[in-house]
Amino acid sequence: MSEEETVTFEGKSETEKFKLEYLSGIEDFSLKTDFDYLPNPDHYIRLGASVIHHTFTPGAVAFSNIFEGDTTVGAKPTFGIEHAVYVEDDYKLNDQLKVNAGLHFSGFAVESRYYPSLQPRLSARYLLRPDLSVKASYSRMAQFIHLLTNSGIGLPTDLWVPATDRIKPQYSEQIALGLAKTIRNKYELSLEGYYKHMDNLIEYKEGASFLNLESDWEQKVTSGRGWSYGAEVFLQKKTGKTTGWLGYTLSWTERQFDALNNFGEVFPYKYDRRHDLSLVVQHKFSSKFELSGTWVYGTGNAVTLPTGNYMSAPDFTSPGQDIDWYQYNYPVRNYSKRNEYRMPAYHRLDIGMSFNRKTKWGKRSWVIGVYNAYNRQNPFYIDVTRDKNGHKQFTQYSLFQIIPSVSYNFSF
Amino acid sequence: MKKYTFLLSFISLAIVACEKVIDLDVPYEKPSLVVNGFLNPDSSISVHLSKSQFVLDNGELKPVADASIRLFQGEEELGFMGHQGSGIYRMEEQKPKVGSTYTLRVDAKGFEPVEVEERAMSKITPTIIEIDTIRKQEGGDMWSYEYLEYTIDLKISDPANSQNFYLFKVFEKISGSYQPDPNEEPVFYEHLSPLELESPDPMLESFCNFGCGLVLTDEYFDGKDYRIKLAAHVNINSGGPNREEERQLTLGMYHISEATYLYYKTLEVNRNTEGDPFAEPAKVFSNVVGGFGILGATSATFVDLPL
Repeated sequence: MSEEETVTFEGKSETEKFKLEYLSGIEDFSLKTDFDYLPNPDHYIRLGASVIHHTFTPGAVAFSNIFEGDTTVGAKPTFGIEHAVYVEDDYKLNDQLKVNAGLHFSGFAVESRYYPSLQPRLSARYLLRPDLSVKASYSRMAQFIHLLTNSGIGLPTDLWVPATDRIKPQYSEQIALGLAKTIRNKYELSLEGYYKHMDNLIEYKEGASFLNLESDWEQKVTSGRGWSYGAEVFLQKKTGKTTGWLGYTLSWTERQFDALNNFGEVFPYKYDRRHDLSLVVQHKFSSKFELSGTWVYGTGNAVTLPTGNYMSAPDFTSPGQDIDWYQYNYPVRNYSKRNEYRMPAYHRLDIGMSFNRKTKWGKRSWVIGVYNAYNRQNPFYIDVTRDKNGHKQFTQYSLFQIIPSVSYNFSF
Repeated sequence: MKKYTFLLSFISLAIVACEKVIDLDVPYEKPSLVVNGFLNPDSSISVHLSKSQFVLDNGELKPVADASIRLFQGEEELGFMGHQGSGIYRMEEQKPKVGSTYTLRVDAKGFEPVEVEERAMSKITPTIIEIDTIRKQEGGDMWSYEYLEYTIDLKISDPANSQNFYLFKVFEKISGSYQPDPNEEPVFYEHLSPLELESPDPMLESFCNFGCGLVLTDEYFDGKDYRIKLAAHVNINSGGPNREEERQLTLGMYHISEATYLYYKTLEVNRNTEGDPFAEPAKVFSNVVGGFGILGATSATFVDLPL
């Protein structure tokens, strides 16, 4: 945000410039190594290790004024080292049964704490018939970085913040069960259901503002738990001139925090996407020309809406004075339950054309496309504004509409 | 130009206005009754009644003047509260009895009935152990500011087996007169304002509505005596030339109910989020069933402090 103002005093004019920036970022340096080991045809063992040095800057404000110079205030950087080692084995027990069993150990050192986590992973696939299989999986996971979202209808302020001395990592467990079928050797159809439970989730406390730098972000959050469950149908065509896939997920994602939503009532997560649909189609007209299209649809974000206003109670503390019922009487804004309302759905169509050509040195492609081809105004945030007659209304703001794209690719 | 027309049109379409007035599927929130009142053993029971409005409604918030409010003490009905004008209802000559529970049942045409219940609080008188004043000065060669660092050391005796909240405020009353012109009559004035309080005790939390005080809960000293230190800065500079002023300091200690505490704490948070598009919505607590507002309970003790 920047502003310029010309001030005139005693016949002299000066232009004052003011600039405000909100800074938030993560810088990572990582090392990773992976090995494959095949002792015999029935075992495919993978193992590896990684280490990442994180520098988190969850929130800082830099402001500059032409007269007073530059100043930066806010959260100091937080450094963390995350390491992981894993081993897993794809084990073919027999022609029908294949199991993937793995163990993942990770740890996160931050400030004065070290958070270790042992995470078993197990999945199995059983062939009922050559074209029909059933799958099941279980996994336990740790996540050392939290996504901090706000629940109001105003500007979205998603921040990635680390686990710290006071904020524990997020732990989760997930189970899934599914069926997969191959149809006429052309199509693959799968149906899968899942359930996931999460602990040590964080959300902003009521009234907290990410722009308020008087307190650290850790003091603005409270912790709780969540769960997610649903089912996905997936149909894919991999062969032929026309390929693509169609996926539909029906899911619920909820949260429960003792300090939020009327002292602990369950509420939907902001990104509780009840319906999620994706359709991708590619058609190869020739080796020189391909056409592709993608259509996505998702239920709108769950947000907390202002619903009304009412009169506040007055000051009762002044000694020797009767209560003035109308003194300092600013309206109290009332809100819905947390995340009770849905923003309009998100959907868009992307189209792309690829012009390919073989050259002496390799292959080149021009890809011309359009994002959001039918110019859908997907909601970014909502505000209460006034129309030209002074009447209040909800106004939706969108960010990106139709966007053309051109890219050039080459391979040799 | 033709070859650019398409490109310009395309770019214009991409950056066309991104605002859209939408009809959100928001159920219309019917106006509800808002009851604001206090049980104070030193005053007749009185409440203010108004109505809420939907977020998109325009106009001012209005009082409700034609309601019937029945007052109960325990199970005993005491009668109807009389309307005094401007939405204020009072039960004359009915001061709350300490320890008694009072219920208000409010009916008004066009509204769902509401009910609220609260218990009258007892007076808790603090024992002043010591008062200390240190004269201090801040500033430099160009300007200086003299003030008194006023420290109050006091003790309270907490009733056992009940959750109690104590609010502390220090008020400064300045009364004086000045004569802008020797030929004119003097002008008299009086200001009452709370001073900002501090305490080294981390158990006391800030309580900022209508000036800041400090509030303490008896979570860690139920039924025991508890000693508290409060500090305030008192300006000792005179009001200016041609002025004669008197200053009076008063310590107010309020024994408030949990509902009163929760209401004003959440009101403070709600107020602080106004105009901040990044702030988390904060609902204000209410003990009014079916409506909004607060029937609070407070019992105050005032102690004049030497200056």
